[in-house]
Amino acid sequence: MTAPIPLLELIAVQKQFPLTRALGDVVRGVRRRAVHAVDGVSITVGDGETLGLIGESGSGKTTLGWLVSRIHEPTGGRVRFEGKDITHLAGEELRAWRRHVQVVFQDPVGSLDPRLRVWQIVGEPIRAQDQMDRRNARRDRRKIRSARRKAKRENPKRARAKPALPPLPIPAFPSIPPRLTAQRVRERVRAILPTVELPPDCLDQYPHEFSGGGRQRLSLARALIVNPRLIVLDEPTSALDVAVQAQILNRLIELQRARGVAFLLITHNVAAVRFAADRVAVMYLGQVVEYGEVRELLEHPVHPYTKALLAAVPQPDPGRRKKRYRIEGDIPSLIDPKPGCRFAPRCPFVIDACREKDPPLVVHPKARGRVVACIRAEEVADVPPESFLVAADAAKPPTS
Amino acid sequence: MAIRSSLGTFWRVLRANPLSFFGFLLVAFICLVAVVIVVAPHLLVPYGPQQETGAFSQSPSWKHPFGTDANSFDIYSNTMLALPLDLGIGVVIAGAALLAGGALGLIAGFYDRPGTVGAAASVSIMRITDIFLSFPSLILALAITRALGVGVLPTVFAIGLTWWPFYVRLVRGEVLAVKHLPYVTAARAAGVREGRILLRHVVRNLLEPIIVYFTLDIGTVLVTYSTIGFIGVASKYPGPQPEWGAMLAFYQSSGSINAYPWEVLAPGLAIFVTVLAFSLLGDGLRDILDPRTRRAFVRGTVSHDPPPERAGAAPGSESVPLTASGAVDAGAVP
Repeated sequence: MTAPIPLLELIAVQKQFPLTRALGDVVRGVRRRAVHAVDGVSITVGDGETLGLIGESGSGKTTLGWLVSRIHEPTGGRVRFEGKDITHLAGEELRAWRRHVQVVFQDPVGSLDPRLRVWQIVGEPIRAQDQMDRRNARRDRRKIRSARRKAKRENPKRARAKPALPPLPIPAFPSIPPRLTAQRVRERVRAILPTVELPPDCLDQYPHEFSGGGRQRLSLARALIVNPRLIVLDEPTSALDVAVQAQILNRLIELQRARGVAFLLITHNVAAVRFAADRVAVMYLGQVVEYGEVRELLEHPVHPYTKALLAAVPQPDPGRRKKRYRIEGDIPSLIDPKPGCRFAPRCPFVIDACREKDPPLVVHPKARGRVVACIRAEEVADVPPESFLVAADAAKPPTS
Repeated sequence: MAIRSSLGTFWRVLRANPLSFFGFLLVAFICLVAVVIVVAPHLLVPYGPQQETGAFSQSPSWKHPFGTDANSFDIYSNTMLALPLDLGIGVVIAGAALLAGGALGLIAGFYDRPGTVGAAASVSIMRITDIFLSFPSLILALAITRALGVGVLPTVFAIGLTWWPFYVRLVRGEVLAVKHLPYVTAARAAGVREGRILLRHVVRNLLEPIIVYFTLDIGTVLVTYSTIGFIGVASKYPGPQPEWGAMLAFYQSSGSINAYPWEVLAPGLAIFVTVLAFSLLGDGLRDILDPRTRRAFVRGTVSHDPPPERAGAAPGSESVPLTASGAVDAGAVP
């Protein structure tokens, strides 16, 4: 008996964006450089679970989300969905697969077409899927028809003499599903709106008539309407105020319980991950540096970067206000990164070996189900995140 | 509910802005007059184009509202008879340029993934457009007219040939601005086909600047045609089919502008009013086409020229969703 197939499995996924070379570089034959936005990420998302993805801005979180939802095509590695390789899916196959994975975009204003009404926006995915189903049915019918014609041509007598024997190995003639009318779309949209707590009578309104939270609910309704298995939530709450953030997150958790949909929750908000996620992956400069069960990881972070990230989270403690986040040094460039740990230039525990080769993502012995990419993981595991905070007067003036 | 908002709102927004409302009425009036002149000219035009009235170089009077010229032709009649032609020329040239240039601009802007057929087509379209744009269009149109021969059709063809590149540039620029917006990515992620994205999201969102440009452009075409007419290569005047530019040219070059200044008044005024009408209409259309300003106008929350209560209290406003936004906000934050 093998382990159950995870819903989504990423194996060493890479995405590089090539840079345009300057004319001089083309003449000199300088190799084309690339931004390594996502560099060898391996994660899994189980059925009905929430994987949180946290990291700073520019750590490749959104790019990873777009790779999962196949808005971008990976330049390396594999993406499997329910065991099926979707890394390089294209054309109709890709469009057909999209019903399983939907995206809620970061920008609730820009991701809704200002000229369409609510029912058109929320109904767009089902209309697209309907058109695809009809196209595919028509294509299948054409194929079967020509296969039958061919069979008849090759064996005309038998086809005529013994029509019942033996059944031709040709699948049944599919019927073309009836067109999804505007009326039907409106009904489906009306039915989905209450699940995101929007009034069902706002079908004919425009997105600009909604508040930020209302627009994010529209995005969510749009994602839910095709009953996907996985929803990529790209910073779903970052544009919203705290009260609305909590409402949306609560709603997401309820929806997950009711529908069993899995979430990939991309955010820089540690509190949101703590609240909503089952497991969490910490990203730094295109790589996952630590990965594990959410409460465990947030309480006992092992990787120095995770510690630093958590130390940077503001705490409702006035005594800590005088202290300052200590991580210093430059953020390495994502353009053709040097080998070695990406965090080495800023890491307080760095040793020479860190700069020599990429630290492998290995199972950490002290915490169950945790993988960490740090060669000094065991030594630094017990250093509390608070040690990353120093008193403000002791700190050097920030370098700009 | 959906149908109410299209026609009814159109009307309400138009009324909210008196200047564009005036432009709309003027365009409607001009079109009506043109139709009447084509169908039943005797209702509006007392004399034929080359009918001698017996009154030579008369100043405006009740009988001849814009006077007569040295040939004793009635200037008012000739100006009116030129209206259908000039209006038709403006709409046909601008329309053809919009369709051709718009289609090419859509292709050039939308299909630019390197290494595809679409990208190759885009590059060719843009280079040919640039070649056309690098000539002064009036000179090019003149040259083409000369090569094709004098007359209305060659001139229309020549102007049309120089007119489309502006639309390619305009539409392509708009497409490039729209195609990377998040909602286009969102549509792609939802599984919408590229062609449908182009029509539903891209075209729909660039329609507003294009239509505004188009209505303004009708006036520009008219002026260009009149300029070519003025140089004297487009239409013959006096002749069986008068044309405003040619009329201006004739009366101006006959050297009598000091003695008989009213001769240029009618065709000049006709060009001015027609161009102005379309410009005003274009301005008003911009407000109507954008649902954001449209709703704002209907609700009267945008303080434009008229006092807000006038826009809100338009007859039949019982169907106006005055509390639409409030209701949604309340629902969104329970």
